[in-house]
Amino acid sequence: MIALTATAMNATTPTPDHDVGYFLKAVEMVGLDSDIWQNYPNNLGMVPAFHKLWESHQDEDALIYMHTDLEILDDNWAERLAFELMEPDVGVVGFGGAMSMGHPDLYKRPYRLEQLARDDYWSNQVGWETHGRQETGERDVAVLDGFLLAVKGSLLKRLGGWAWFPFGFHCYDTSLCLMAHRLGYRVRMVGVRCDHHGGGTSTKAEYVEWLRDRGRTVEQDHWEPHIWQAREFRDILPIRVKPC
Amino acid sequence: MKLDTTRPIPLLILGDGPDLHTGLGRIGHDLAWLLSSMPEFRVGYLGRQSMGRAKYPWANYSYPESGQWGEHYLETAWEDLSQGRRGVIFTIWDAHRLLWFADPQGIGGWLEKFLRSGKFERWGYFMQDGDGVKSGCLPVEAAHIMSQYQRVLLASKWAWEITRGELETVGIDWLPHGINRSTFKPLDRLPLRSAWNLKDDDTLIGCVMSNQERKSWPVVMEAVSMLDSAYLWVHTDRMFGSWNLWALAKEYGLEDRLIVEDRALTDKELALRYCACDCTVLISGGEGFCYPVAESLSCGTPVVTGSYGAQAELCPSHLLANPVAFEIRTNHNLRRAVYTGEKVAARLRWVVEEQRKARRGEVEPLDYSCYVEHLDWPLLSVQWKKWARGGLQA
Repeated sequence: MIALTATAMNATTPTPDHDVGYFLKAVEMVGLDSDIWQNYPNNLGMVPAFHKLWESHQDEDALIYMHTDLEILDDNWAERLAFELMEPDVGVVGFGGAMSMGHPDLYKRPYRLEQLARDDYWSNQVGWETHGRQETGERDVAVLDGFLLAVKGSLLKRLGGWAWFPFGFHCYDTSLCLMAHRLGYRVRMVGVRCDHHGGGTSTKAEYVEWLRDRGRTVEQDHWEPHIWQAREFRDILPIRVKPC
Repeated sequence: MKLDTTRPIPLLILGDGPDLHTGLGRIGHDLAWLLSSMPEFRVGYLGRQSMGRAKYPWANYSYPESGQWGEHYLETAWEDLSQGRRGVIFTIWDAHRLLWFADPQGIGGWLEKFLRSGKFERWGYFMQDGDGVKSGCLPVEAAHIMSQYQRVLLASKWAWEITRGELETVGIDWLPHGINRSTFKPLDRLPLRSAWNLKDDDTLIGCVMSNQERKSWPVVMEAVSMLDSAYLWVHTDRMFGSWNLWALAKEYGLEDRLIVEDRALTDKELALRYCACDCTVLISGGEGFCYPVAESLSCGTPVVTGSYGAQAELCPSHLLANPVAFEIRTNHNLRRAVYTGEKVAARLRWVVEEQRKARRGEVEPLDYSCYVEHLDWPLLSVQWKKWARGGLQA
């Protein structure tokens, strides 16, 4: 099991996003191996960076992808993730997840972005009440929030890492979970106390500039992954898991 | 009792013959092909007035129109298909045709015994085209019939909304039917106009409706007659039916501006005609799905229709005419909408003018085909398969 992160998107100027303090504190807390992809000065984008990290660690049993703005507050977090991943049919585990994704009318009416919303979100993160409901235990979920994704190594191997995901950031977390469901895995969340400081990287001026350098707009960056996701996961969406 | 999913489950479709050109026949045809492609099912089709085709991959059974709704043929077809295994009879008809099937109480004899045997689950795809005496609710008869089914699928959200409150114990969902968008797509409007000796700026309104009482032909004729020099292309099954369309056209002064086709047209021929029109119109007491609306939009041609019924949910609001009244019709207590020619004409006039402006580059053209992009059959069939499989997991 290895903890991985990629520094946030900023091609020119170091910002607080480059601070991997939370990440280092978390791995030191549990003595876990770790690796960091420095997306500076050459910024690949986050998911391509995740793919690079997978290429270097593809023989690991589990790869834990974390955002740099995630502060973990419980010191048994890795053990709880490992406990879930020991189940043969569990593919991905995270700290916050939604019981459903996709409006029941998805595909029955012309596509609208709102149809892909996730619903009934559970976590034990600081401010959980602003996102949904509190879960201190564990539960099956439809999709996870990407601030932490612990992925079974065998699942990522079947997927060939992250190369199947054609975008840099948006929707990669929910798409991974949908892929897992497609392959017959369960997706779980564990209610580890944590604080997702929500860096809002994708709305910062540096990120907008990074997109512009690549001939893309914020709107494209947001809309296109959703449209792709709606088309790609027609066999899975809308998805709703039963409480257990 | 659960279905045995270790082997293909016998599934018998009961409906209009799959080789008929009726809307229900076309829907049954497409669903039979789709279900036949699923290894989970062994498909049969008991079709009213069906001739059958050698190419069908399902066991095709037929009965004549005089055989009503197939009640005297159903058991024979079922026993042949199922070979003693439990399965599904999937009806693709309006609910009111199926009281005998849903609740055979009092029929007596072998038919009641068969229908009560538990040899099959009842699944139904209902093109509910009206609510009942109580607005927003199903007619009592239809509600009772659907309540006897294990699975109820409505063709529109509108119908689902009026149904779901009354069928709490039944698996109920809605799913529209798909259309062939590779054929029904925007095409050059001029070739067919040229063949019909119409100029680019002549107004051509299309109307594809069967000649039955539910279709408001007088309102359509009146509305088109109110447009200056507009031509009306009529595609129907017969000119003399519930309505005498020749006489209506004469009385509304349209006899010289009428283009009539009462023969069967291929999808491609239909698409060419939709594309040649400035606008189409469909006014009726209520619709359960409505191919002509979906296909016209898919061709990029706006369609003015009523705001009551399943077809309305396919259209942007500026294409909808509101009813001026409702009335309860038929011996099934169905609510029907009533429209006036004047209101429909106003919508048509506005839409035709907007289309003209768009052709002149004065306004941005509206992409009407996007309103039915979700009905693309190869894509929508994924959802249909999910629905079918969902019945095996229950």
